[in-house]
Amino acid sequence: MRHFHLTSMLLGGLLFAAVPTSTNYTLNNYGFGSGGTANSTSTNYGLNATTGQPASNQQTSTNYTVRPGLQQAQQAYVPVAPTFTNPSSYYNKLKFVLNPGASPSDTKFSIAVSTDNFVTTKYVQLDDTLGASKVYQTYANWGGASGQTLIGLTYSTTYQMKANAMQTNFTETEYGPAASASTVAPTINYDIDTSAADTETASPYAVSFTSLLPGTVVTGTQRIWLDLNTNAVSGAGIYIRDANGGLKSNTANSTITSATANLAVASSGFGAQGASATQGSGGPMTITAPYNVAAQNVGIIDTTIRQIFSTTAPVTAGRTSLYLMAKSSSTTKAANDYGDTLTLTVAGVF
Amino acid sequence: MHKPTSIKPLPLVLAIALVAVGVASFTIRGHAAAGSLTKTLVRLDRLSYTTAVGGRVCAQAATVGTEAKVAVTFPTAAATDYTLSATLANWAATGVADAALGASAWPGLSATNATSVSGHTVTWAAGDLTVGTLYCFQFAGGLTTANNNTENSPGNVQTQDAGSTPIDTGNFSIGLGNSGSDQVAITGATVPPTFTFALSGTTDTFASNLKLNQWVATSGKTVTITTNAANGYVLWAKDFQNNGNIGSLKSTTANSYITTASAVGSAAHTYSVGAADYGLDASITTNGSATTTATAAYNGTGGTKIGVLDPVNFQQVATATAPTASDVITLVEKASAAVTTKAANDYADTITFVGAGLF
Repeated sequence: MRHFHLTSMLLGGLLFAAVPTSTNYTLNNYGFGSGGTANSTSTNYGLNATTGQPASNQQTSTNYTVRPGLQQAQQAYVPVAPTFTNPSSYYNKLKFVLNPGASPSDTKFSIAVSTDNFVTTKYVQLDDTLGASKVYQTYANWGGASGQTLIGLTYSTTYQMKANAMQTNFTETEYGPAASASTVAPTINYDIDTSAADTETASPYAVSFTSLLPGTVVTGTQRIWLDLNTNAVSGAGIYIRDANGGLKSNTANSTITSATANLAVASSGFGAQGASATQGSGGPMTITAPYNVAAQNVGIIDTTIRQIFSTTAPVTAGRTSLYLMAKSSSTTKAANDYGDTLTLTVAGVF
Repeated sequence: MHKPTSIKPLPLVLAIALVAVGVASFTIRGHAAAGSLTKTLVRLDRLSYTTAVGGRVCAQAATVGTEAKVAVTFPTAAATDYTLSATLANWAATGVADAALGASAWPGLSATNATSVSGHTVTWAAGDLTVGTLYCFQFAGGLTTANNNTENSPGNVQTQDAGSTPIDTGNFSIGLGNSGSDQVAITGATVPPTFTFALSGTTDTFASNLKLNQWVATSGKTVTITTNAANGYVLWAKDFQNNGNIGSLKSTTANSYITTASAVGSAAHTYSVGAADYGLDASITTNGSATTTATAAYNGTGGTKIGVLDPVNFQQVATATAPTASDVITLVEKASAAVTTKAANDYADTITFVGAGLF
């Protein structure tokens, strides 16, 4: 293309070395087109061609550039701004969908990205990371209408994105207008509630038991509820541990030891049973073994930090709950100060 | 449209400007060459405010490199921020596998002190990682949490080579509890006191007529005791028939007593030939608590001894020092007649047994 254009310019210089002038006007550049064909085909060949060109100096303003010259038989449109969004509180990625307009399907696009309005520019690579080199792909290969996700980004940062188009080898357009989208900070937060019903409660959090009659499985009067919200891309876990490895009486120096067990069968014991796991969106929240049990089965609570709920994806309005169950035996020392301290923590997998 | 300007010679000033832009771009790209960890997790042992904690750090490398260090930068918080101990030993770290996360132990960390603490960043010398494998380590302490859950900036975990050049970096958020409390108290759960006491019968008959040359025993009765009394229990006995403050068999028709020659409170005694004798033999048939014993005054010692019954005071027959699910104590009365013992067929007695737990 460049070579052809150079030749055209040289020919123009030779043929019209003396520009036409009058008293009031000077025609600096001029030319005339020649015949051509827009689309000529045979069994084995196709031709998209025109000959000749209008010509003038390039004209620019702040927002527009006019580059008159050879008009290609088929050429891409300058792409309008991509659809560039953060649909799910992403902190390290953003979604984009190219807008190809009416460009032919074999048009290829490169996508420029910047955080400083293109003072510095990077380009979307084949693996959807950012790199220094322009990468051209068709609209379909950039994900088509579904788009793709730009990854490896920095949290809490606004990115600008724009695309250009290239149809065959000599028709690269300017980059079109830019769209912007922002990443957010990685976040995780949770809250504990202790209540018989699903309701918010304030700290201090406590669970009580009615009398632990020997041989009787008793469920804590309150459930422990946990709220979880996180945009951690690989989800999060909720963890539980305790101080005593069971319910302990200091006065009787006695412990109802916790274990993973069916309390209907075991002579005594203490543990937790996952009761519910829901979410507003994302997730889903699930109950982790050995707490994903029913009836009078429980999972161990001891001084080891153990995962009790989890999700493998970001979650909004995650809400889980667990029961505490205990059973004393005929030889469990009588006392009225059996107690424990549970610590519930969360961690996101960002 | 196309680009006719591309063939024109560039003015020198423009060329220099483009070179400068190229250098700037190169610098930015060089900084961005480090990759992003595929997974990053930091789980503190506690999520309450202003609390000294240790924690677990997990990361999955994405970029091929020779990791030699891992640096953890903790978040910054509004108001009272996270604080980091400057004592490197407080940050001792050990690689640990984490089944719930499917993680392997972070290589090269075994009670390894931090190599530096600077600002919010702690750095350890650690081993090389395999791309695609999640690794975890536990640091013992060194961190004090903020007094609020507003993170001004998130934290990050960064793997580095021996020259401290970043290889992979991943951000994380801590998520201190909304109210600053991460604990649930279980208090005052009550195991009520229990004590059960059951006699196998209320009538115990001598196996035969009393004899002059040996004891004759009753068939025996048992008392079964179950209690969760922390300090066990006591079983007492008190006799009804009183002959000189010594428990006895009495015949109403003959107005006669069969009374032992031994004293109340003395150790259980063996049979003495020709003597009138009467007493109680207690033996532990089932020792549920493993702490139950017959008292010396009534311990039959395999059926060879009896103890003197007291018609005035309750006397301890057996004791236990711990809860028991089912103690069984066998009680047998034994008696012998002397040649002067009045003949009668109504020699009898009533013994009252009482038990109580030591809660």
